[in-house]
Amino acid sequence: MTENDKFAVEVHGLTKVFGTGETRVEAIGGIDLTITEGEFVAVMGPSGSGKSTLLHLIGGLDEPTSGRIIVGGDDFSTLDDDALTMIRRRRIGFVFQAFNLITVLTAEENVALPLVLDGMDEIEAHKRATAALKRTGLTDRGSHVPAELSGGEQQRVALSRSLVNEPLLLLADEPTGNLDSATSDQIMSLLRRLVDDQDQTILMVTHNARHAAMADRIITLRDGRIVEQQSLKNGRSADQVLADLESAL
Amino acid sequence: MKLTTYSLREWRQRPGRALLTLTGIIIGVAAMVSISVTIEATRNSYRHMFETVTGRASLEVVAEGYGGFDPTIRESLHKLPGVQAAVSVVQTTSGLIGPSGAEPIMVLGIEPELDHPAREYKIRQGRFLGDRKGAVLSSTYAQRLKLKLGDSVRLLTPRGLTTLPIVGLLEPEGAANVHAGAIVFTHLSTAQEAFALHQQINAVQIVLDEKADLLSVQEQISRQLPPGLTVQAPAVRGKLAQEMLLGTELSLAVMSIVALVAGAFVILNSFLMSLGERVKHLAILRALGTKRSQLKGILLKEAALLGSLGTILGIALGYALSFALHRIMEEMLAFPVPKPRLDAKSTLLAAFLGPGIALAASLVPAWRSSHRPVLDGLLDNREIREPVYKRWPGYIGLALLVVGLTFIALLVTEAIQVDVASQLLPGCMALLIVSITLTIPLCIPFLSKIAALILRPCLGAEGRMAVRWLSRRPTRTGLTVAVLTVTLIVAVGFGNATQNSVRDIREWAAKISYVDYYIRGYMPGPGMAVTAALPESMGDEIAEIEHVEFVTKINFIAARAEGEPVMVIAKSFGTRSGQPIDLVEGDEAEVIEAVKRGDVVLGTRLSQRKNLKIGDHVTLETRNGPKDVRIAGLATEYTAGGFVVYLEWNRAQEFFGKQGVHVFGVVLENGAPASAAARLQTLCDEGKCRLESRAEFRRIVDEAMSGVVGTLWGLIALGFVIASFGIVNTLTMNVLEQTREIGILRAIAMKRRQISRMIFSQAMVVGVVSLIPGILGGIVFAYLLNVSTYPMTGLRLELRFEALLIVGSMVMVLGLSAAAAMFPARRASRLQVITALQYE
Ligand SMILES: Nc1ncnc2c1ncn2[C@@H]1O[C@H](COP(=O)(O)OP(=O)(O)OP(=O)(O)O)[C@@H](O)[C@H]1O
Ligand SMILES: [Mg+2]
Repeated sequence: MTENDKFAVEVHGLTKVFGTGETRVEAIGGIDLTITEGEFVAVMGPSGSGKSTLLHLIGGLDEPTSGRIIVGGDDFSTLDDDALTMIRRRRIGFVFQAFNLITVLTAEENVALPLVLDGMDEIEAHKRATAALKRTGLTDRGSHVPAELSGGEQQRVALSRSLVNEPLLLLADEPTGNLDSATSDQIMSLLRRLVDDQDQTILMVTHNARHAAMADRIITLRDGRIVEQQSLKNGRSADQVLADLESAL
Repeated sequence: MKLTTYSLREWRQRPGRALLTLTGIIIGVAAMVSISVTIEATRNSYRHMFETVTGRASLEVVAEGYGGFDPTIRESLHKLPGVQAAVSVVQTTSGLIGPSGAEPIMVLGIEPELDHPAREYKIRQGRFLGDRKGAVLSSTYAQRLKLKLGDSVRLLTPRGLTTLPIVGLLEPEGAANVHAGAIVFTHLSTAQEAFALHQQINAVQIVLDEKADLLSVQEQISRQLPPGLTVQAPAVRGKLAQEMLLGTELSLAVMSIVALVAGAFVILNSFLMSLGERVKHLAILRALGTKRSQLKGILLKEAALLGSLGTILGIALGYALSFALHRIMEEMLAFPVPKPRLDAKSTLLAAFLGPGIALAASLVPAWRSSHRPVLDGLLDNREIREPVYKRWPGYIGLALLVVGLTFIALLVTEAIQVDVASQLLPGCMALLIVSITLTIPLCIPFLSKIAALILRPCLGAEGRMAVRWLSRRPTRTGLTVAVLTVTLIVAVGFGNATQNSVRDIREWAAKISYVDYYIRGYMPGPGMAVTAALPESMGDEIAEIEHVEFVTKINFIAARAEGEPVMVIAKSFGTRSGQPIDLVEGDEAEVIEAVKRGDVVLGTRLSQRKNLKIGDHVTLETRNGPKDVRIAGLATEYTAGGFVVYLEWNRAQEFFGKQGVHVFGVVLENGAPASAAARLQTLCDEGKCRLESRAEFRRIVDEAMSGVVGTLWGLIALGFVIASFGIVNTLTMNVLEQTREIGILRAIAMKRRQISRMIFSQAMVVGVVSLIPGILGGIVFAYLLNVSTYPMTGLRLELRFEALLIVGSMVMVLGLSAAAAMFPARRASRLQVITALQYE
C-alpha cells in the first residue's frame, strides 16, 4: 500500500450488539478494516458470522454499538440522519440478494430513482438511467416492470441502479445468491470489469468461493470477528485460493 | 419519471385502498357541506323572505304584536331627514283557496301610486292595481294553481272568504318572487277591509336616502314613535323562527362533526394500512437515499392529493345531498325554504377542512414510515413489527374525556351560561368522540379477553387464532374498534335522546289537545303556528250548533318579552275541566284562574333563558307600551321552540289588537250525536277552512314524529355502514399480511371453510369488542344528553332506555361485522396455496 492510495472505507473497533439479556447477540465483535479506492473485497464466513451486519453498518443502514466508520472521509458518528442519507444517496450503491426493486416502477424508472430523489431533471435522469442499464447489458428491457424480468435481469437492474450515481463504494450482499450459476458468473464478471475499467470500490459478501476468488482481497469472518485476510493481488491462482479457503473454513 | 409517478403507480396497484381513503374524505366533506349549506339556506330563508317583501325599504315601523295602527304617523316619518320615502302597507299571512283547500300565502296591501320607492312591479299580463278591487300575483304562482287573468282568488280573512278578481300577473321578480311566489298584492284599502283593520295599517316601510346612516335614522324614528310602535329591520320578523331552528341546527351541526371525525378516522386507518403494505418499498426508498423529510413529503403529498380529490367529490356529493336534506327541511318546516345555493362559506371551509383532515390523518402514518429503521422493511426475515403501542395517546384521550365530561357537568349544574354552552356543545361532542377514540386502544387487551371468553364456545380454535392475530396489530384493531364504538355511542345516545323527546312531544300533543275538534285555515308547519286568521264571528256560529258545549279561540301572535322574540298564545278559557296547557309547575285550576285574571304562563324554554320563576313579572311589549305581567305557571311547550307566553284572549286583544282567530277549539257535549260533527263539517266547507278531529291532530303530530324517527334511523344506519367500511379495511389488510401464513395453514391441511371461519371470527371479535364500550358509552351519552336538556330547554325529560334501539344497534353491529367479513374471507379462502407461499 502506497502513500497515494486513498481509503474508501475505514472501520475502527466496530461492534454491533443486538438485544439485551438473554436475547443478546454480539453480531460484530470488534472489527478493524480499511479498503482502498478501486479495491474489490470479498467477505466470506459461515451463516450468522455477521457479514450482512457489517455491510449494513458500512452502508449506513444501521447504527453500530461502538466503533467508527469512515466512508470517503466522512465519519458516520458525526453525521445526523439526513447527512447519512446523503452519503447513501451519492456515495454508496447497494445490491441485495433479494434485488429489492420497486415493483410498481419499470426497470428504467427504478434505475432513475436515486437521481430523481436527488432532484435531477427528468430528461437527464432518463438519459443516465438508460446508459447505466446499457453498461450492465440491459438495453431493451427498460420499460418492463420487475415482475416481467428474470432474476438475472432484475439483478442487473439493481446493479444499474446502484451504479447510476457513480458511487464511491458498491456494497453487495450475496448478489448472486438467488441466481443460477451461469447468470451468477455474468454478474460477477460485470463486477470485476467495473473494478478493472472504472476503479470501482466494491465490498461484496458471498458464500461462493469461486466468486470470492475474483476479488482482490478476501476477508473471512467468524462470530463477528475477522479471522483471516488474504490478498489475491500477488497473482496467486484461483485454485490456490480455493484450497486455502477450504482449509480456513 | 417524477416522484408523483411513483405515488400514482402505488395507488393504481392498490385501487381499493385509495378508494377507501377517498370514501372517508368524501363522506366527511359531503356530510359537512350538505348540512352547512342546508342550515345556511334555512337560516336565511325567513330573513330573506321578509327582506324580499320590503324591497328597498330597510326599516319598518310596526305595532307590538303586528296589529293595526293609525296611518297618520306615515306623514311625519316621510319628512324625516335621511328618509327617502315611507310607504304604508298591510302585510299579513292568509290562506288562498286552491284545489286542495287553503294554502299559505302572504298578502301585501299597498298604495299603488305611492309604493314605487319600495318595490318595482313588472307586469307580464293584464294591468297593475289601478282601482280598488282586484289582486295581482306572480305568474309562476298563478300557473302552479292554474289561475288565469280574469279568474278570481279566494282568501281566508277575518271577514270570512274574500274574493278578488285577478287583474294582473307579475314577472316572478323581486317581491313577487318571495315565498316561492306565494304572495298576493292588493290595494291597501282592499286589504284593510278584508283583514278588518278599519282604516288602519300594520306597517310603514321606510326607504332611506342613499347616503343615510341606518342606525341614526332608526334612532331618530324611534324617538318620534308613540309607545306601542317600534322600528325594526324587516328581518327581525324572522327571528323567532330562527331561534326555533336553533335546536335542529345544533343537532345537525353535531352530526356533521361526527361524520367529519369518523371520516378522519377512516382516513387515518386506511393510511396506516396502505403504508403498512408499502413498508418494503418505503425502506428501499430510504436505502437509496431518500431523506426522512423527503419521504414524509412524498407521503403527505399523496395525502394532500387524495384529500383534494376527495374534497372535490365530497363537495359535489354534499351539494347533491343538500337537495335531499332541503326536501326534509321543507317537509319539517312546511315552509318553502329557498333551494340550496352555492355557498362560499361552506364550500371554502370544506375546501380547507377536507385536505386538512386528510393531511392531519396522514401525519402520524407518515412520521412512522419515515422513522422506521430502514432494515426493518428491507430484510424479508425480519418481522415487520408495528412500533410498540404507545400509551400516551390513550392518556391524552383520558384527559380529554375528563375535560369533555367536566364541560357537561358545568352545563348541567348551570355554571356556564346556556348561550355559551350551546355554542360550545358541538365542539364538546367532537372532543368527547375524539377522546373516546383515543382511549379505546388502552382497553383493547382487556376487552379482547372478554370477547374471547364470550366467543370461545361458538368459534373454537379459529376464534382463539383470530384474537391472536388481532392483538398483533393493536393500533389497527384499536382504531377499527374505536370507530365502531363511537358509532354505537352516537347511535345509542342520540337515538335514545331523540326517542325520549319524541315521546315527550307525543305526550305533550295528547295533553294540549283536550278539545274534540280544531278548526283552522290550514295546518301550519310544526313549531311555527302562523296560519290564516278566521272571522271571530265564526265562533258564535259554531257555538250555536246543537251539542257544542264550548268554543275556545286561539291566536298566535309574534311579540317581544324581555327583549326576546316570543310567540304569544292567546286563548279563551272555558268552564269545562281539561288541560289546555301542559303545566310543569303550578296547580292547574289555580293557574288557569290566574291567567283568566290576566297573569301569564311561560314556556319553559323562555323561563329558562330569562331565568324567570313563578311569581316573577315578565315585561311584554304591547301596543300600549311595555306591560309587566305576573307569571302564574310554567308549561312544556314545543310551539315556537318553547319561546311562548300564554295570555288570556281578552287580555291579548287589549295588548295586541284584534287580529281575527287562528284556531277554534270545539268541545262537544258528552255523547253528542254524529250530526253535530257533520254540522261542523258543513260550516267548515262553507268557510273553506279545515276541520280536524283530536285524533287527526294527534295523527299529524305522530306522522311528523315518525318522520323524525325515520330520519334518525336512516342516519344511524348510514353511520354503521361507514364504520363497517373500517372493518372491511382492517380485515382485508390482515388477510394480505397473513397471506403467507394462510398459505402455510392451507398447506398443512386447513380447509377453506376453516380459513374463512377464521377471518369471520376476526370480524366477530371486533364487533363484540366494540359492543361493550359502545353500548355502555351510549347509555352514558344518552344520560348526559338527557341531563343537559334541562339547562338548554327548561324541560325535564323522563330518561327511558329504548330496548329496541339498543338491541337493534347491537344486532346491526354484529350483522355488519359479519357482512364486512364476507369479501376478505372469500379472498383468503380462495388463495392458491402456492402463490400464497410465495407472496411477499
Ligand atoms: N435485528 C437483529 N436482531 C437480533 N439479532 C440479529 C439481528 N440481525 C442479525 N442478528 C444476529 O446477528 C448475527 C449475525 O447476523 P448476519 O445476518 O450478519 O449473519 P450473516 O453472516 O449475514 O449470515 P448469512 O450468511 O446467513 O446471511 C446472527 O446471529 C443473527 O442472528
Ligand atoms: Mg447475510
